[in-house]
Amino acid sequence: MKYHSRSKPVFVCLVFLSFLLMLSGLLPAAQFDEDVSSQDSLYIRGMINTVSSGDRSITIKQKKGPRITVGVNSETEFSGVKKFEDLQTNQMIKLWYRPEQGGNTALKIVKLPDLGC
Amino acid sequence: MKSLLQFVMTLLLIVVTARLGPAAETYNNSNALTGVREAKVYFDVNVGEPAKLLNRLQLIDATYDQLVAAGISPLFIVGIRGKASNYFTRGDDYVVDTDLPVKKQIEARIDRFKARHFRLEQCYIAAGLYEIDVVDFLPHLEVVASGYVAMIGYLTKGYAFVPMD
Repeated sequence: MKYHSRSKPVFVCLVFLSFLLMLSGLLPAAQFDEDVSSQDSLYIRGMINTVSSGDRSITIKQKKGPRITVGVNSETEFSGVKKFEDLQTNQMIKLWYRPEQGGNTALKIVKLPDLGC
Repeated sequence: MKSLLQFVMTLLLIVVTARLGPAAETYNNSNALTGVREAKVYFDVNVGEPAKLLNRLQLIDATYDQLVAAGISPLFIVGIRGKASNYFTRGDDYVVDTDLPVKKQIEARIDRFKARHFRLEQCYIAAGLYEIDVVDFLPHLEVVASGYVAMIGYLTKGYAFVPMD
């Protein structure tokens, strides 16, 4: 296939736009890879102290830190467990959440494996 | 008539209880313990369920009592590893709130163990896996590099191995 010299800049622009679109798609997926708080979410690690099925919330007890209660909704991502109902007290988790006026909202919950030993 | 029936039932209960009591006390371990003067034992404690863990610690205590009653000198080592490690810490950071009352009882049991000169060894690898700061362990515990290596060493030295699963 032969390109006309006039269409070449258009082609380059399209390639560049595609690249930008790909990057924007990757960013949301990557934002919970780091165990850190960011502008959009706060990060904590701790033990599930209570699970409240009624208001679909969990309270996390941090080692030498405050307890944090977060609500779980349909947007919450899970890893290590499939759904809210799989969460239990005593499980160690990593949690990314967003503080909101009505309370904290869980963005992603990662249940850590029990390695025994 | 009713009071007579009550009297008979009470009498029957007393007789049955009296028969069961002494019978239970006749059990012993004489076959196993004949000729034994000293018992060196390594208890592998790794239960992460607090009520079960407390029960296992009570059984270690009872075992000590039974050996002493049989005229044997016990030398006990209690090796702690796995999720049990969380319950041998100071304060309330490492267990959920509902487990705190049982944790207190576990601590009291550990005081008793110390008074009986049991050696208490905590696995350092487990501390790392459960993110427990070594300084947060109860003061009676001696942290060892590896619970597995400790087991191997003590068993090689002739200690009996008792898994407390």
